[in-house]
Amino acid sequence: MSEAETKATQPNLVEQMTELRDTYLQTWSKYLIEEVNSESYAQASGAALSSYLDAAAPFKEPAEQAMLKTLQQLHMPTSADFAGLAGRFTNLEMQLDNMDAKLDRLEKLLIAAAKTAEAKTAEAKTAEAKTAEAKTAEAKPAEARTPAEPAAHAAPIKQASKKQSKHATAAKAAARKPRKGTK
Amino acid sequence: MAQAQTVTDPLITLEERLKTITKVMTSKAPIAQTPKELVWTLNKAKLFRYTPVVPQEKRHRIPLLLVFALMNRPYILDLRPGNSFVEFLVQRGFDVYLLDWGSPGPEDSHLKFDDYTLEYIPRAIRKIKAISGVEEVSLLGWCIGAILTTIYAALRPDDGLRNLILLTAPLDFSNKDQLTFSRWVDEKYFDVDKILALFGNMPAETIDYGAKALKPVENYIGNYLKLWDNVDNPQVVASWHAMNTWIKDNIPMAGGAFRQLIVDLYRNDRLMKGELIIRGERVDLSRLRANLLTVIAEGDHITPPCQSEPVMAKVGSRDKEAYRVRGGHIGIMAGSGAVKHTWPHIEKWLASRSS
Repeated sequence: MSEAETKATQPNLVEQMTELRDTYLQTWSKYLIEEVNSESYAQASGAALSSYLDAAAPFKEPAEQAMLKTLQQLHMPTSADFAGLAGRFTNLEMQLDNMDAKLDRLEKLLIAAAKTAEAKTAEAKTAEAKTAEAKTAEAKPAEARTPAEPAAHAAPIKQASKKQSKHATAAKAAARKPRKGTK
Repeated sequence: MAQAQTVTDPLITLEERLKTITKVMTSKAPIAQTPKELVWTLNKAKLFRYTPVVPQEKRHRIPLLLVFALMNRPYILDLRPGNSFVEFLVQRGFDVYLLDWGSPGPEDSHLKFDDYTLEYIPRAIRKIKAISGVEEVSLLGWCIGAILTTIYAALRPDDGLRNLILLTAPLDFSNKDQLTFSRWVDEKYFDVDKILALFGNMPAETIDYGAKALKPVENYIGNYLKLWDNVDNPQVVASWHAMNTWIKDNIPMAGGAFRQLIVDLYRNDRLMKGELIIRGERVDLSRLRANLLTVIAEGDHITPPCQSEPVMAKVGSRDKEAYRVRGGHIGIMAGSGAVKHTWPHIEKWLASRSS
């Protein structure tokens, strides 16, 4: 057999071997899947686990007690101490998380309040601008009048505003006074 | 001379192969490499936010929280660059968060589904809302993570949960004939209190044995033969190495939660019957109103399709879809077909509901 022929037949042999192996494993796989899915396997694995637990359980408490005594004698923290500490830390974390949530809520409220205030300021500014425009519009025809006239007009306005502010102060004071018979 | 070479060449090849095998079986692959930031912690749990790579204006508005099972590490969702569900989503403009439960210690043996669903998940979601500035959120739960997210979604339907994605969700335990685990943990054979009295938490090794024993030949022999057959293919070796790193990295399950899984779910099917009580509240699946996508693996031997399908009839969601995909419990999300089928389907479904 030539070298080329040998090479040509080699992969086929490997492929055949692989195929054979895969078929064998597939058969095994099917069989074992059925087996582990059976009631008898559940029973057997349960019994094995149970006997392991039965064998290990009696050693658990004495071992734990011995460890506890040793650690106490050495003035070292026990696993129960660590567990307690871990619980405390988790509670602290939760409290911090609650505070974080509250701060988030407050931040949201503040942002919302700031937005409302901004909107109100913008409204007030628009209103002021409108009033100023109206005043300018009123003032423009007055420019045509004689210079003495504006002073004559302005005096009654000032007086009127003083009167209004006096009324307002009196009203505020009345509102502050507590009524008789009420707390 | 030529004859000597013919003898030594196969030996050198064999040596190289053995070196590769030893290396991948005794070392840890670099996993979970998508850049992320720790944004919140509680006890052992950690919430990570993956660094967005898409500009904010092109990102989906609603953030997504990934919740994995309690007894395995969650980095299966971010296995390795080029084969990472997280990386896939981040590149497509999702704001992705991952809740890593961590490994429970003896001090956590009291933790129950009650704690996970009504303390940890709601607090993590609150943090996500605060970070993202969005009042809605999407949740993806896988395996036991799907049980937790379903319970949360049913108990807190007004908490802003827009979308719920369940992957291989074991929710219905009524079909005992098809559930091997159900048979193993039957009260006739399995004393859950005895095992928890000895260990506190359910040991990782026992859970791992249980999962592997369902398909013993595939897990104990076939897996290694796959490596042997493909040892000259660096891509397959890298993939196998990453997966093996994850498979070997098991964690125990908190005793309280394990007892609920066995007694309330496997033995008494209380969730589907509407009898499951969490912190005094009955879990009523009809109250679950979030848009729902449940991904079912047709070849899943851990969670057969009969466990995931019936929930569709019980939930109150108007927008719901069951998506069946070929593959096993882990393969549908981490196998070679995941990037072609499962991930694009989830991405498409979620993208249209995340604006």
